[in-house]
Amino acid sequence: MNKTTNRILWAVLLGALVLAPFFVGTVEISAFQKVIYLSVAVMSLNVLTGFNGQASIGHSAFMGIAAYFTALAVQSHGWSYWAALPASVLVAALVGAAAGVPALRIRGMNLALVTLGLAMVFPQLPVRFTEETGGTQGMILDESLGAPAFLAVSDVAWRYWVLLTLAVLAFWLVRNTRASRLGRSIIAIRDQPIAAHTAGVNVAATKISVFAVSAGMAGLAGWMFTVTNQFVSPSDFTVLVSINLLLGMAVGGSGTLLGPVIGAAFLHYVPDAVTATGIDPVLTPVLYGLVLILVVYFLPGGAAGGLAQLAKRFSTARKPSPPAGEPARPVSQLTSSTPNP
Amino acid sequence: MSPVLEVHELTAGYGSLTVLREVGFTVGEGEIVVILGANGAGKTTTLRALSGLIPAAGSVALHGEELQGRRADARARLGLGHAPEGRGTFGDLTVDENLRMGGLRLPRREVPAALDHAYGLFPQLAPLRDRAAGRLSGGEQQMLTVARALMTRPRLLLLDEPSMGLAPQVTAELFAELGRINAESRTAMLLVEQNAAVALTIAHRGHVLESGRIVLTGTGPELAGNASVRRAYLGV
Amino acid sequence: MALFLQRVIDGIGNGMLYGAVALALVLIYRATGMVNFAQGEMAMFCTFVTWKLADHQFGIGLPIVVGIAGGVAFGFLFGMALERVVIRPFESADHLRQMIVTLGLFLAINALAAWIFTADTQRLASPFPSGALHLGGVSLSYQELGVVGVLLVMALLLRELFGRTRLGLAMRGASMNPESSRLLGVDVSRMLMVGWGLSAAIGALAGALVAPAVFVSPGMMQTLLLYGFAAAVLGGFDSAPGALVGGVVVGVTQALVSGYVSAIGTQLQLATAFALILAVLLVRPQGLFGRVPVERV
Repeated sequence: MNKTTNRILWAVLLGALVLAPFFVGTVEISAFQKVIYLSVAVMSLNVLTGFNGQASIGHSAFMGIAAYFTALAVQSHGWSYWAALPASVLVAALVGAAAGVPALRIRGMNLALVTLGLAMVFPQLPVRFTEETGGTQGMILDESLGAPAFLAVSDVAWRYWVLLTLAVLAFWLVRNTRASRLGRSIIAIRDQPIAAHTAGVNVAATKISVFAVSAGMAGLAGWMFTVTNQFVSPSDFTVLVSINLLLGMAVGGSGTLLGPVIGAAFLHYVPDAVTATGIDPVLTPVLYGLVLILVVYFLPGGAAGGLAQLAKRFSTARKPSPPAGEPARPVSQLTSSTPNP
Repeated sequence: MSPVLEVHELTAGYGSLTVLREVGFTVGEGEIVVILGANGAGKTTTLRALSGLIPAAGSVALHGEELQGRRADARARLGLGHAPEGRGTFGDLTVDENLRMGGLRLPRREVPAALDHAYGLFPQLAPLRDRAAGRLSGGEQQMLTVARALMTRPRLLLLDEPSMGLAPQVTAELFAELGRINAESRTAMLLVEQNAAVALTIAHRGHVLESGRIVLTGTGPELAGNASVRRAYLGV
Repeated sequence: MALFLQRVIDGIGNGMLYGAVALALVLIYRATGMVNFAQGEMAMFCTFVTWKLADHQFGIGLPIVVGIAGGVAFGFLFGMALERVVIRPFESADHLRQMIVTLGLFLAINALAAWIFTADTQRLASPFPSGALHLGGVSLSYQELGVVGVLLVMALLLRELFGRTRLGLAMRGASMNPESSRLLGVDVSRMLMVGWGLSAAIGALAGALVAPAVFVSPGMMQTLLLYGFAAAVLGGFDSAPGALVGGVVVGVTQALVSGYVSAIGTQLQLATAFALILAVLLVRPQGLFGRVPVERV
């Protein structure tokens, strides 16, 4: 695929998405909204993995922090959703930065441990403050994000467009950062931390910043969650949600814009599809787990990576290009004569 | 009768980099064979390929039994001992435990005698038996890996640069010991070395490896007398 | 004073259980360099097996001790099977992938337990008599004494295994230097498999011991896992005695904090474990017993 066709494809896709409320029903539109906030959440994980080479099990907590912040601000303190947007994103980013500090020290698994702790502790906070939050029952918001009267569009369509616009902005930001000098130097830090450190780059500050941005983006997804559902409860932000997001990332693959969308669509539509086939829905996570393991084994680039590879193979098959030759494998894969089954 | 080790057209490398090209040689009963070569000639690769630590093409037979297709641990159980270079010890285990690792496959009641025998061969190790191997000197660790490989009662012992990093005096002692062990137990040995001078004091036969190919073959004295060997490896 | 002592004692009882979970984590980490996020779920699954063997209403109704033995034996086989089938292909993969694979196991085992057994909360009998020893204002329940006793015996047996047997030596060697172990004829993969089996068996024991207090349910081990992580981090993650001592420290801290700091209450006890993890990583990342790591970026 060359650049122009790529752009045209994206424009068509975006156009279709923008016009969707005129063609499909409310049920589909609210399903799209869920896919949108899941996409943003999966993209926030992608940011962390892509720029820092780290994975978080705590993004359900960052989502939850922003979602609850929005819910409390709107329901209990009379804020508007719009005022809660920057504030909730900022709060999530700040908690992310704070969590990133101890996680940076020494072992790579520490971040996983710290974020796991966050994900497990977070759902207990609303329970501890049941009077303010409704505890395990959750809280319903009376107010919804309505369309401005002069536009004369339905509230559902308006909310969908708001979410779509914010998601496109977020994706555009990630894409441009990745292509920028800043983005490339962050990736250089990921790959060569010691060299970057020697070259005088503040590795820790960079990594924490990336973590904060990633957490803030998860916060954006959390704000979107509250806007979409007008309801929050602790069970919406358990550690299982975090693992699902990782699944979304693995399925979609990191490093592409389409990946998180594929991953989010998978997360939203597969459970229904499973139920439709007559399999006990209790077993859906079993399927998730198996898919996660198989994807990591067979498709390290995820579905989007797999698609890109297919496309590449397809385009090189038509052009008589010189054989690429076997890519050099790292020595570590060859140090044992035992073939990995 | 088939030789202890018979190698045909051994080719090995790392990824797309071929280090060893169609190397062939044999080691006979009770023989010490040395492979000489400079850094990067493929010496360690040869031993790693023989032991099954890296994949290789060609055939490797131990007492007529084909080893290719078997994993490293299976080859070891068939009688291939390998004293790796450098840090091959178990750093957190004591000297005694390192040797016991070598004796894991021996019948239980033979282990004490085998340990005594090992300490007899390398008396320097005896007072260190309860010390962590990681805290031994380079020479002591080198002896430990050799002693540990001997604990497996190998039919063929592969030795990877035993002189590496050792003082000349220690090297001479270690090689004298290797020669004694060979003379007493008739254990066949395949030795790869950069230090030709000391290696040729005990080797019966030898090969010179350059860029992954054997370029010269001869008996120990022949090689020691060869002009190019003398120039390249003996510094005379 | 008596109340303080009582809280410390209760903390030790819980702490030993955290220590056991930490021990299971450390065993796998030392053998394979992997942090097993599915550890708690594996233990939960085995506890359901124990429940199925021992429960009079829904299960076979065997004596509870037999049930626990069965659950532990099942755990050993279960751990080995998981290593062989799921983990081995990722033996040399990077941390990120290994983590995702164990999280996949987490999801799958959790749901599988709910499907095979039940998603409801079930009661499991205790192998120890009810009641308590009363010593000057402090009471030691037989349950606590039993848990501590059983886990101490387990720790001693493990010490014997690793310190005195050939299998233990081979396992230590294989995790320390796989290549040299192979050169000495040790089947390293099999040692890793046994390591996973042992680890799962320890988890099964911890699950059965904690079940009378927290009941049996698919989510029963999730908080315990975090306490186990806190204990393991405190112990340095590669030290077996460190894991047990770390567990006791976590347990006592938790008991004292939730006893004396009213803002924490019962709902936020888990936050203590989280705070401990944070504190250790900030102040002494190598833990109380771990060695100072070389890498530092």
